[in-house]
Amino acid sequence: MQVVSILFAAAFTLATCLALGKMLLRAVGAKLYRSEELFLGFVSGAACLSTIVLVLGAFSLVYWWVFLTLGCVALGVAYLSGALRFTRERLPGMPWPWLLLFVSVYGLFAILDLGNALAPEASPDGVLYHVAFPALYFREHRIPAITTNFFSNFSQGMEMLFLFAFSFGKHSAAAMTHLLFTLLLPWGMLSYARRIGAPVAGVVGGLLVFLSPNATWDGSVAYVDVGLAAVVFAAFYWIQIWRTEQNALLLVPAGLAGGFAYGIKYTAFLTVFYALAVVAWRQWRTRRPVWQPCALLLLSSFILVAPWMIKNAIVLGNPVSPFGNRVFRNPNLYVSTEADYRSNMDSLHGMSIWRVPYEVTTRGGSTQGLLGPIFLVVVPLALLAMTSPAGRQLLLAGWLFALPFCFFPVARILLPALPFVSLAFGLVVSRWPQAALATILLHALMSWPSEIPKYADRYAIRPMLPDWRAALRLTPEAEFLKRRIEEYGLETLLDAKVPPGERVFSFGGFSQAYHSPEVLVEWESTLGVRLGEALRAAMQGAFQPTQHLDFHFEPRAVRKLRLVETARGGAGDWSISELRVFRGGAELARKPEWRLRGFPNPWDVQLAFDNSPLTRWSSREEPRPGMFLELDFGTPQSIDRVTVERTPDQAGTQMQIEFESAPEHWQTLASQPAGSTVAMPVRLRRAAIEELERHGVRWLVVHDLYPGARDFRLRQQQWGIAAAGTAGRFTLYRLE
Amino acid sequence: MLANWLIPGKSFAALAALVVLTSCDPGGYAPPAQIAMPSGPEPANAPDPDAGLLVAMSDPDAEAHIRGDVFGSEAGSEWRFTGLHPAFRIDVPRVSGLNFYLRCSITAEMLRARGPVTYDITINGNHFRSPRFATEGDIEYRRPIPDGWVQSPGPVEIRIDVSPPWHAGDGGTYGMFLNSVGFEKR
Repeated sequence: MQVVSILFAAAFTLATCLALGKMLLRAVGAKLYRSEELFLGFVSGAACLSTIVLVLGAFSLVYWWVFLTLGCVALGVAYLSGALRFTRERLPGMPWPWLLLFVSVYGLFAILDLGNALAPEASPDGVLYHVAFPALYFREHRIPAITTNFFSNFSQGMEMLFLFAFSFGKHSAAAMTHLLFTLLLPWGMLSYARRIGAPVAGVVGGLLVFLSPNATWDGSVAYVDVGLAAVVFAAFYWIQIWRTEQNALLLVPAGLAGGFAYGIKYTAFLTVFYALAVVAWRQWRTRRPVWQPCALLLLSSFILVAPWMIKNAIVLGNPVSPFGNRVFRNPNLYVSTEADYRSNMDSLHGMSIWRVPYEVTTRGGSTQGLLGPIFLVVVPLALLAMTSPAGRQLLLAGWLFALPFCFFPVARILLPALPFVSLAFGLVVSRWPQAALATILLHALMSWPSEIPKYADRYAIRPMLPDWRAALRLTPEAEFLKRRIEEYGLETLLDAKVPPGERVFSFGGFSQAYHSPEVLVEWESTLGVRLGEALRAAMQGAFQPTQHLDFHFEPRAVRKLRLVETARGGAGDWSISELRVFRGGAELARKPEWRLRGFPNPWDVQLAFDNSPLTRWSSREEPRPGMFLELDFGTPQSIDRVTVERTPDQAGTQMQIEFESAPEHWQTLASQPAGSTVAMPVRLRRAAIEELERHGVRWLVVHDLYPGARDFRLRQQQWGIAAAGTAGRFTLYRLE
Repeated sequence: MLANWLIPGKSFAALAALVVLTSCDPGGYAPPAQIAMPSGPEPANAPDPDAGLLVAMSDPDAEAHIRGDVFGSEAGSEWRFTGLHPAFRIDVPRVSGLNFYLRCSITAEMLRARGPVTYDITINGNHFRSPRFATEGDIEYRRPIPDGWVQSPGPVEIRIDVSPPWHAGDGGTYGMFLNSVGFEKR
């Protein structure tokens, strides 16, 4: 029964996308061939469906019956309007031996992909967020405003399709939806090749992509990258058709595809730039108006880009979150978190740059997968396609869409570029049929799952032969998931122990797709970072404000004073755990009428005035002159001493006390503090737990390798926690 | 009307407005509620009979188990650099069913500078060699201890010889970046 619901979910998603897409094709008067209608109709409809689901989610209408009604209405309208009918126009025929070769090799790998997609979803990013979010949205019947999960900040165009399918077929339906794109992409490439009179190039190019180990793996799980490749290729395809037909309305589906590409993955914003550049260049070369078609294209793209920007602007205060936090400063994500993420993502992890081609095509250990060894030959030979206009167009697109790899060197980032390079190679090699045939057969042989371990890194992500018993649910889903997901036991433990609505804290991320409780992961939000630091400060001297700076000066009546950073660098960031003001040896009690400000990161300023050694205001950026904490007493106060409590990791920073001598005019009050080291109070561990509890956290997940794992286990009484259960190397603690 | 918005100048103005709206300063905050530290002394922890099998660098009594060649660090820090021949003494309450356990980290910088690393481990005079570790990241190495290597409950001497050395950019020579070493129940 479960298999039937999964298959229904995929089929219904396909049908709804096609219905919406075909209506769009009819509305813009697109004159396509039969096979093009399938590929371009599906992708265009997917863009529409994704946006409709997002809007429904915003209005708390995430119910299976809403989606069922939506799909039935779309199919009904399309049927009644005649849009569902396919044209009788067919592309020029192709040699039957090549068609036979294409269908047989494609069919073999399509069965492989189907078996893997049908199996319970266990892919790392799938269970971390690609499916975890649709599962959450479906549980809550809406798309909630999430500010504490880094991954929810990304655009989720594909996840909206997953959500549609999930409502009928649960987790595996998401992978099956992605599989639809995977299965259709080679046919789209073949159609394009036939349109430009190079069918053999289409056979070669389509199979090179479809058989690529990374496309096979990624395209049959709930990832988004092969889907993105199909959407990017569709945008290119639309632009190429527009170039020959000069129907301005064709720029609408081209723009929608570009916007949808951004909606699937930020890095695909290049699709919009590419389309704009080609349209502008073409118009300029032919001395036609440039602005109107470009504006139409841009507006069409913006229809699909804008919802994600607006959502992030409203929920997170940053339309392009999780990036651009220096420009769009906000209380939800630190600049340092973004910097750490970028640094982690663009790292080659110790690998020489000269090894990258070999690693990304053949070994795959450091690049999270491999494209296939054949691409070591395909890429350089594809450059020979520069001799033809069609080849140049493909190579230009391929080069452009490969650019994100420079910033995120993993194999799947190259997938959007792969169709272009593969088709360009197809153009070259199709002049020698024997070579083309040999290329396909060799690629097929080397991409078969049982052959890949013979040359790939043992840790490389790669496709496996399907577990048909699991795919058909003859093996219970839980049994399969226990084998494939290390944290699955933890997920069942969380569901069993944590009551609804209670929050869990964890130092590291883990699968989120199969449990209900909300998990706050340390690095993923400002709140997570602060709570993580509170726990660390209870154990580690580096996080404790043991350094005190004492600024003494002649008594003076001031209304506003600032602690100002005067040096550049000297620490990772500039942080103040506590700032206190004195008169005649007594600390001034903090009053509600005081006003506190800080720059940068003004949202955390209260942490320097909360009397807790476990919390701190931090710049979350490298120190630089001009950063400050400001205290406005409301009325002039006579003061003669200011103390600063800080962590010991910022010896290179320098600071001084200033007061406002006239509006917006600041004068130095003291700049030579006396330093001392002090001991921390006892019971820091318990205080840290109380800090978590103040933010609604009631549970703690600790892996054996997480920070403090041993401390939590051995000092439960001091923390005020109790082990509630273990799952593998994870321990779940209840805060008491 | 709509066409006006297609003019790039207007689009940029709208984008600029979005920037301003989404990047606004929150203004001043009042001081928050003052936090009081928990009162009373630290509660005693329940004893864990197997805790002593392992010495973690963050343990308050780690120094008592370090015989030499482990560099100092911030209190409570979970990681410490060692020289090329760190040595430890651990009081084991049992003599059989033990695994040797080592957790350390290899950074990309270490790997680039010295390549793969091997640990020669001596336990009460009995010697074995670890595999070559050639990838960066957290390493957990376990190896069953043959019966007889630990004759009776009590102190066990562990010595690790690291090769090759890592000549770091700060001029120092280091062996490993250590989290914990000792034994665990098999």
